[in-house]
Amino acid sequence: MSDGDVIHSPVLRELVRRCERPNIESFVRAFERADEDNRATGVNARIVEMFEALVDEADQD
Amino acid sequence: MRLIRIRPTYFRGFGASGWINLDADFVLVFGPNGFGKTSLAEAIEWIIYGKTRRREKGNTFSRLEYRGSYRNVHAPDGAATSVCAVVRIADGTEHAIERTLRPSQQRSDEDSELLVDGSVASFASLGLEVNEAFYPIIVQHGLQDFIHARPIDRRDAISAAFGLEPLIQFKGALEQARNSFRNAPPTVVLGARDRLRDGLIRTTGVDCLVELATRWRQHEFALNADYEELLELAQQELDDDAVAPEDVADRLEQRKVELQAAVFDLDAIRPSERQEDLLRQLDSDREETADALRTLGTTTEAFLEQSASVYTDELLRFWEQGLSLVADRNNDMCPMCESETLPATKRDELRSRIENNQQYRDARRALLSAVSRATETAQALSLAVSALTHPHMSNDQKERLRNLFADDQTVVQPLIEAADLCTRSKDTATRNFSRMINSLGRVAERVEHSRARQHVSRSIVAMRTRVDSSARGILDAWRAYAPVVRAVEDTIIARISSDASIRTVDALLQLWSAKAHVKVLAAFNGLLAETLGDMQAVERFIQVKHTELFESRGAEIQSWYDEMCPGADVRYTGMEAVTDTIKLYAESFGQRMPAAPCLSHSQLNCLGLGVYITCGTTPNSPFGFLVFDDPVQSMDDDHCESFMERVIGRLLDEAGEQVIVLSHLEPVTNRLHRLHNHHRLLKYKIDQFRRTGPSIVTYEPLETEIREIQVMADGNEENRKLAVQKLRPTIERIVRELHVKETGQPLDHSLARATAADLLRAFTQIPNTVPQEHQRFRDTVGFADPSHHTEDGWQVPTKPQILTHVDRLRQLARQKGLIE
Repeated sequence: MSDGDVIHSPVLRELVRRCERPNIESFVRAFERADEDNRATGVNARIVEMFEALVDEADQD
Repeated sequence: MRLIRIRPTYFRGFGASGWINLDADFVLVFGPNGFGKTSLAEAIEWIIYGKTRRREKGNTFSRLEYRGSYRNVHAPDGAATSVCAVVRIADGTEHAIERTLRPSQQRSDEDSELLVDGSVASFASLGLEVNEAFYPIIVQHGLQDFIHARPIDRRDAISAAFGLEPLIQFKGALEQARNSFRNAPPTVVLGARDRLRDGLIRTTGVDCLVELATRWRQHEFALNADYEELLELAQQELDDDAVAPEDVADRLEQRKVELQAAVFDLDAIRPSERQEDLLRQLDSDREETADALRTLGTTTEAFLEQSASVYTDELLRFWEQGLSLVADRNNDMCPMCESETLPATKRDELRSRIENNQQYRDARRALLSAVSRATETAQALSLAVSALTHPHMSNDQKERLRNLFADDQTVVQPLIEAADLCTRSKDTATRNFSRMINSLGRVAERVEHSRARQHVSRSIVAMRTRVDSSARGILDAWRAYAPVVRAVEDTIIARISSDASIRTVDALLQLWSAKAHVKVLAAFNGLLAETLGDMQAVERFIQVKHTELFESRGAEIQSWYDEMCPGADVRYTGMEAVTDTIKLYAESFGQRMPAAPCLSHSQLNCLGLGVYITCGTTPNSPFGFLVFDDPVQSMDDDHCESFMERVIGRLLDEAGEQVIVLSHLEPVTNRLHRLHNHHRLLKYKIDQFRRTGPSIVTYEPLETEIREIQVMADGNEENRKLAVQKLRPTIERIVRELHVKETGQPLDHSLARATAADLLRAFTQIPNTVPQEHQRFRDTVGFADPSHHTEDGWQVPTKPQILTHVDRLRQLARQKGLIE
């Protein structure tokens, strides 16, 4: 398991466990991976990735 | 973990400091403002966390302004900025901790390296979880940060105090990311919005699409159901239930064209796409024809000139004119000599001689060639005109247009007139070009006849003028037509499309064709809705965590607060987590009210202390110490006394915490000393602050110092001599402390080598000292002046003499509030 697979903050681990929303886990990982000053940018990039995947999926329908 | 000793080096206000011993249960540090107390508190904060809250807060205002502020401004180049400490952990072992600013990062001042027992490590290597929830440094200026704050900031501050900061930061980042995604959508979304907006405009007045268009305008899509509905509507419009989805767009387009043509076929009167090319060709042919006619004119002139010069054409004409005078008698007879001088044979001979002349033959060949070229260009020009097919508006089309705009003929009248002008100009040109081609065919013949040839040149010039004028007439008329069409086109389309059936088909076509864009928008909106749900889930979780924390720790906050405000009728009563804030409640004689606007400043300080002490004493906190930096500043006397007696007492006696209090108020440190002197206690005073940093010395109260002199005065001669010597540093101390008290600033120079006059001057310059005090002070300074002690005949003063000055100093110190 790479370092990127571990959620470091105990309270964020608890959030992921208790919320049971798949997006949140993905956003938390993006949040922790990003530099301290670029966390919102990191999460935004993840949202954009998800949007592109949705558009691709819609195109294939 | 307890602090045993600490040594800041070039950190904040510190220079190359020595070790400061902290190995006691209770450490008191007294020092005036600006002497480095907060630097000491921040040194403790920084060695633990690698940052300070003051700096973090400052960074939010201006990272640039606060950059480099951990490092002492007087630190020599190459000297490291560090804080070393020795700590004792729960198992009784002691460890050396050292945090150093990374040299390459000294400018940015953000990164540091921690050594534990000489190796790069974290506190985790000692089994300690260093978490901001247990923050053990409590500073007066931050006590009310969470109270007088925007709701969201209050929530963040309390959350940070309880270790929920990552959660709050995550929610903030998610919210910011979502806002950014919503406010600056991908380009494909912007394009889709434009396309859909255009489509929805076409649905205005189409009853069957009102409900769907309303939802789509609000970006509410039910993609599959919406397109099933559109398919059904399209099938109804096309009267064909079997139309497959992939054919819908083509079939609707076809139906639209048919319906439009039935009302008025705009395409029939639009300028051809090739029109401009054709007009350019026409213009080019016009120029070539004009050029060919110009050449023909010149060549004809040359031919006529040549034929005249080859033989005496004028002479021949003379004979012919002369012969005509007697033409009724004999055409061959000369009217003057009356003999047959120019018979037919003679004339044939003359003509033959001309025709056989080489120069004449060349000129005639050139003429025929010019005629041929002019004819070719004229025919090309004629073809170019024929190629222009539009615009031609039939009477039926004019009638339909006029009917379409029966209410306002002025809309289409310019278009009809422009079309008529085109038709007329084409007809005129066609006629003119046809006549010109015929005329050109007769040029060669006409120049042979002496009567006709004189008109040929003029006829060619006239031909050229007509050709140019006709061609330009077409060009002007046709080029003027296109803008007229463009000007009324939309109005005509709108009038045509106002036909209900066309409007419906058009709207269906627009929405059906926008499917790919609707999919993009549906994906975009769906993701926004999903992330909003995520944010709400995070917010709910934050509230749950707060509720859990308030249930478990709320009573502790209340209890610490009550220690400082016992039995008050107006008091803080608790916290409640709601969306994006935490409400603070108070009670006034049983009536609930919000705490922030209703409690006093001092009560709110007590609340701040209650919150931070609760965090600092969290049961699983790795820290066994608390640092208070000026905790009771701006607190009421009662609250201050309760804090000093009950809160510090409880921390020392019950919680077993190591307590470090820094204060600029000497009575506070003295009172704390008296209240808790049964604990292992260290007391320091910061007596000077210099470029090299604060001078921290073991503290002896002024009162004790004066009492010691009094005791010495009661002794033998040696003791009395010592008493007199001790008077001088005590006088210096009074001047220094009084200066700080009255001005808030330390003296800018040392008094150690000052003469008696210097000392007196320093005293008289202190605000609020009066002449009577100056006079008495002069006596005492003179009495204690060491320069007298070496004078001949100087005798050790007697006890009453010494006590007179001791009493004066005590009285002065008391009057000025330096001692109680």
